[in-house]
Amino acid sequence: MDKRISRSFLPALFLGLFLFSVWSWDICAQSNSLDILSDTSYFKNGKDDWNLVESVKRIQPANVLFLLKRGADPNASEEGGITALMYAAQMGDTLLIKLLVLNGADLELTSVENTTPLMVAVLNQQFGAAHLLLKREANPDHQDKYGGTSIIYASAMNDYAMADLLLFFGATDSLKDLNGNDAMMTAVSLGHLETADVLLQNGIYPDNRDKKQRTPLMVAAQQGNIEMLNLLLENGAEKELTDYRNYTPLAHAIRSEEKNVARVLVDSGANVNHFISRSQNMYDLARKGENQDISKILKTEGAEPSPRPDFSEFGLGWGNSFGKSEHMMQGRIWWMDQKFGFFAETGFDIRPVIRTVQVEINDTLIHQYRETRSAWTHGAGKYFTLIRAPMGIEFGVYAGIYGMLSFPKRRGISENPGAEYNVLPSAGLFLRGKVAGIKAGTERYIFGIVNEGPWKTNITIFLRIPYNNSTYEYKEIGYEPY
Amino acid sequence: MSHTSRNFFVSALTLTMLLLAGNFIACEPEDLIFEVDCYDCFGYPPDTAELIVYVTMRLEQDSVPLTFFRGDSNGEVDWQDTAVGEEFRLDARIGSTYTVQAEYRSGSKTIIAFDSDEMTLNDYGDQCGDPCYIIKGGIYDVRLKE
Repeated sequence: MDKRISRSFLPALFLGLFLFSVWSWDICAQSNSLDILSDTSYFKNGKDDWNLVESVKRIQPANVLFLLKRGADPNASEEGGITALMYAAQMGDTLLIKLLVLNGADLELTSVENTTPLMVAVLNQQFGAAHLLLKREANPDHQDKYGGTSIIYASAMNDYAMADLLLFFGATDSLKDLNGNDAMMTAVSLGHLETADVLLQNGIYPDNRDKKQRTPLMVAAQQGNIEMLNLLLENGAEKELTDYRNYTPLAHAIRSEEKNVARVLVDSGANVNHFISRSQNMYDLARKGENQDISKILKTEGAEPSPRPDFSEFGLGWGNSFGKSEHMMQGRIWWMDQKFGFFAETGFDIRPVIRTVQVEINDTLIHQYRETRSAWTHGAGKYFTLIRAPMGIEFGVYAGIYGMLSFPKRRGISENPGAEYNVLPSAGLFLRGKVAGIKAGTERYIFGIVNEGPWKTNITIFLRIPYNNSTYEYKEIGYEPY
Repeated sequence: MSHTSRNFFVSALTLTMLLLAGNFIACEPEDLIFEVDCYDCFGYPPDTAELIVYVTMRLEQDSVPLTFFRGDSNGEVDWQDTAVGEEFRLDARIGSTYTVQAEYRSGSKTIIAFDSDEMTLNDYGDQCGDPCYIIKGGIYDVRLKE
């Protein structure tokens, strides 16, 4: 025998014998532990299925084997459809899993939430159990009641090793839950950088969209997660895709006031002149959000405000117009340009009480009536903001021109004078917040009444109702184990 | 909604309430009577009742000619009289609309004041227990506007 071979063979032989003895001891120990029953005081007579589930929960493999041999159903379950195998998977006990599977437990039986034992193992981060189930050909793409899959669970738990394992066993990465979230979107939404990295390393497409057409890059931008943003950009995430509101990732950064994210996106070449709507571009969005830092970033890249007005707000106003001997109550609705302050307005006016009015018939005759009056008013104007305070409070002046078609009705007079049309110039001051405001000013109109002062004081309170791009929705994903 | 915006909204609502209160103050007293006074009841439905005409008495004119038209001012003249005090009462049919015309003289000018109203009979038996008829309306304001 060659001495070199004998020198290397002998240690290997000893090592082999040592390992065999250890394995034999383990097998003996296991078979011994399976031969000796544990405490069975909780067993219920004639209810071996229940006893089986309970033995699994108590991690008593000998009892489990004994019950299986005695004819207990290996697919026995508790309320909610949770099987003995699911409990074994939850605890990650591979011996119990083996016992159950070898005795016929179904890997694809589901709970009422439609979760499988594999999903339970993944949710409880039991890598060994998941591995064993996958080796036994458990379906990695089974979807629960909410469309969630094992790999989405792994993403939600930031269990990147599990995600990797599932992908190795052929899990489909593009399956989506009922909200359209796949594993990548879940990892990004929950800020799980490691899992996102593993998924991308496995070649997952970085721009899969959710139900609202948002991409992971948009969500990372929205959340201000620079590390995630960089990871996605490095892996080729697209910067110019748009969601259901035509927002790009940069638009999300602007809307979320994430200055640093905006900087990264602009530096990586994101389009600063993208139009969200016909009248609103990136710069308008930043200006509307009153974020001067982002506005500056955009401006340095050549962004400019769009010249088109942005009529995206309704206003509801209730006002009172007082004169020397006049009082008209006003209800108004207007359409407002949020960019330049233009408005178009219409509404009704009524005199809330009957008023005594005098009308000159000729030089020597005056008629006096008890008169009610209603009117339809319409007009246009502009708000000029002079001071912008924090929290969206604005102070400024307004000016407008209106037409008022009024209908006087005089008590006891059969021949009422008919409709009158007045042109009303109006101007004053306003103070408004994001939700409501007040304006006070003067307006000029005359109804042809004796001793009537033409100038009236107007006080109006109003509500602002933005209807476009007004509410910004942050993406949220909530996961709860079964 | 932010804290500041909420405060602003509350302030706006408060102002609304104040302006509404102002509107009610501007209303005539008769418009503000929402309650029924069961002591004003008639136990039977009357055919006629007194209408009241408020007029302005001045030094330069101590009596005011009044004309009562049925319906509007183009209607048939139902009654002519002269008021010598600031309150003129006349028995009139319930359920009929009358228009009152008062004539004032002020220097070389004539001021003719009109007002119209109808007396109505309302049954408040349900609220007051016993048969209860209350007359509403029938108040004419032809006082000169200051």
